Amino acid sequence: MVNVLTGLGAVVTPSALLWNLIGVVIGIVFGALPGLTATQAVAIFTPLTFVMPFTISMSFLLGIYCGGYYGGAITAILLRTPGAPGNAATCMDGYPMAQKGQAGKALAIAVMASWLGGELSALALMVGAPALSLIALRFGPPEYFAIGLLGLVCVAGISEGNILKGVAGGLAGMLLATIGMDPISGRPRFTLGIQGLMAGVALIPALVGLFAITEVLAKAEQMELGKKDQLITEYDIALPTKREWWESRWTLLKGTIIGVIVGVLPGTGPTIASWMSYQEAKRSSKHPELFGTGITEGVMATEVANNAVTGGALIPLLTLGVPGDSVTAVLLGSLMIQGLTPGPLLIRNNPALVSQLFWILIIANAFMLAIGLGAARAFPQILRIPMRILLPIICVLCIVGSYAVNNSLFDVWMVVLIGFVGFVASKFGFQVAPIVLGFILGPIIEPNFRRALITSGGSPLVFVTRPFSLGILILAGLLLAFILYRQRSGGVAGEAVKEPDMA
Amino acid sequence: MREQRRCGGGRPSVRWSRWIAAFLEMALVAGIAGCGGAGSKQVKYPVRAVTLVVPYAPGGSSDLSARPVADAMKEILGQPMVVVNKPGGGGSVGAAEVAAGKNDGYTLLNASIGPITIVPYTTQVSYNYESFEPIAQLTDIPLALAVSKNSKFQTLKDFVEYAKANPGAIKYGHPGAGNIQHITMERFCQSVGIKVTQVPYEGANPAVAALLGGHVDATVTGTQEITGQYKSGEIRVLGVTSASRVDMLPDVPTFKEQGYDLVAGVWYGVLAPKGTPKEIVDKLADAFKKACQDSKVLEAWKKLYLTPAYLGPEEFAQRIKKDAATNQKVVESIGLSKK
Repeated sequence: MVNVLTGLGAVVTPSALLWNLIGVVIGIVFGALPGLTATQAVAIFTPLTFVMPFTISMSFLLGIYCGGYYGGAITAILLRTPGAPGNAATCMDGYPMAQKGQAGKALAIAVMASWLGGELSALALMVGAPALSLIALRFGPPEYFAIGLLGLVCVAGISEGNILKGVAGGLAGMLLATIGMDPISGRPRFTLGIQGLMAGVALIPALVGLFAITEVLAKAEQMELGKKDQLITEYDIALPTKREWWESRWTLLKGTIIGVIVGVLPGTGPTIASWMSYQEAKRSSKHPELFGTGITEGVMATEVANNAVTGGALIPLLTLGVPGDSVTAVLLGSLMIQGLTPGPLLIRNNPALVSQLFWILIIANAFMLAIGLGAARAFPQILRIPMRILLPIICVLCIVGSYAVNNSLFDVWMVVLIGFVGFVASKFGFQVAPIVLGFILGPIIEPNFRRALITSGGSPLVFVTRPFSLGILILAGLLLAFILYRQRSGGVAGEAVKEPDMA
Repeated sequence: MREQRRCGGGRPSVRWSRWIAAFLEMALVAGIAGCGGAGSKQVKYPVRAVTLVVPYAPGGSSDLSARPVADAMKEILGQPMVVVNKPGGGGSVGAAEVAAGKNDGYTLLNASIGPITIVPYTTQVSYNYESFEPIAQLTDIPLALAVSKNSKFQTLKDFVEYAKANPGAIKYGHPGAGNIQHITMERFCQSVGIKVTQVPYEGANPAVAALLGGHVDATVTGTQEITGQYKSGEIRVLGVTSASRVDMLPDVPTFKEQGYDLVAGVWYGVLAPKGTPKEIVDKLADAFKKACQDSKVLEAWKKLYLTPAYLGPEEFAQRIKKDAATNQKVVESIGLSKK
């Protein structure tokens, strides 16, 4: 307890607070701009922290971390352009909300849910780090494969109407993800000899293409067809009511737990956490058919989960020296710059460290909430811009953003191509979400499947003889059965209900 | 931030652009006059910012080790050195771009052993080590063979003998197929005649996590990746691949000490495109040598557990050639070579 309070004393200095605030602002800006992410922001600013003392450096970088995982929600909600991969799922209900004139409310919900997820995950870091780090250790290749499969079941859950098309989209996404270096053999595959494809299809250009460009094309088509330029001049800036929060309490709690656990697992991050949380909210909802039409619970589910990753991902970094997501991978370097070697000794040698980071996270999330609520009032003004002006601006943002990820012109062409393909696919009733989910989960499922078989000497029994792996696989099976049962009994799925054969 | 740097300042007005044109003309005339007078020995370099391409994402070893050097180079050269990240393809995307770039000394590559001496043999890329002029090796990090603290292997000898008695039974993790860690371990196994099963992970961190979680029996990574876990006693390091013991792991014997002839390491160094004038190469090599002695650079490297190991252009070129020949042989023998 004394430790916790001395930690607070160390981080509540004017300069630490100021740098924390600066970090949060930078994080939100990087998060909101498509193509620039929290990971890049932390990486770009880490060299600056060479000269900073520990508490200031961490206040600054963790501020970026928290702000960065929320910032992408702003553009996801207003423009259907996920500013960062972790906010892609927020497009699902956030954008329809904005289209209904509830942009301000959606933004407020996003930041409040992000705040809640962030604070609770900081608490999980403070009290549960040693216990939760054991989960990270128990996860070997079979468990990662199983959790990937569990995520894939979500494809069936988020496919509206035609499950078959959803599964087809998911598989297309997985195939898209196989382009590039084969992660096991280290050889290029499906690159057609094109140098730019050696690195594979990058995540951000794919997401920006599928969500933003597809939507820009759809909007342009509407304009061409003579539909009235839908200007949203009225918008609701009412905060969500207490009742709405209370009704979503389980969604928020489950989203936090999903976020923390996904955060703890190395190699996964906010993108997967937010989709899983969204799917779980939809599955357990009394009115699943309303998801995707712009409901508050959809935004809460995704935003609470992606920010809950922050505290979770710090746990294996601090306890094992193994980062839990891509930002903490960069933070590993930042800690080394401070002369601290992440590893099991880190906490033992620096007992005050965890409580300092805990308070830094608490403060950063509070700053984020304050700024985000302000943004919720100001940013919906963007929607007053007429479509014929806004659409080109979105295109420019997407193109600059996708160039900025890897300084690669090739990625710009990929955005254009993927956006066009996504648009055509949506014309034929294939939705974007399953494609995206397949694209994200493929690189977890495939290499871990192969890795598990390498370690077991080729025996598939490895997936069912390990308790964690078996448990997750059973859960995935139950979830699939539940979704199929409801689709069938609800009569939504129509003729094409088939067991997706992807194990 | 990066964009601003590339765009330069604001846009000059018409009047300004005339001034600049006039100034450039004068500079040109002066330059020509200079050439005629003093002979072409004295090349004015650098007159503008030098780009240092880091072929990996920001925040990794390659990036973090390069940035303090770039800062120091600014003071030494009198012109900024701008770090630009061009990640992808295991470093080959950035390397290919520099290889195809202008050889005027303004585009340099922060290279490392993998993309230069291995990737050209495993993958169809548009360059090989001969596409570059070596300038200077900066750091050299030995590899470590680590096992869990509960492992039955106490020494390298235990490991080798067990592997001899049980071919393929030992599973070791490494940060990626065709990486230097993988190739070096295979080279070691060939030289002592053992067979072990390799499990590729995506990067050093997951490979270390797999070792801590007991999903593999051993892991081969750079020494800087496992120092924290070693100091806490979670893992045991059977050997390091350097010629002499490493400062940060003083208790760990080298492979050589234990009777195995293996010296290897991950080097980071700077390359320029082929045909870069010798004066420029020499000037840069001198400047990098000074940067390698800069106290800020040394401090940053120490914190990142990188070992300074400056080599000048000739020695560096010899090392690259030797590494490339060794690695090519291993790549071919384990069936990783390109069609």
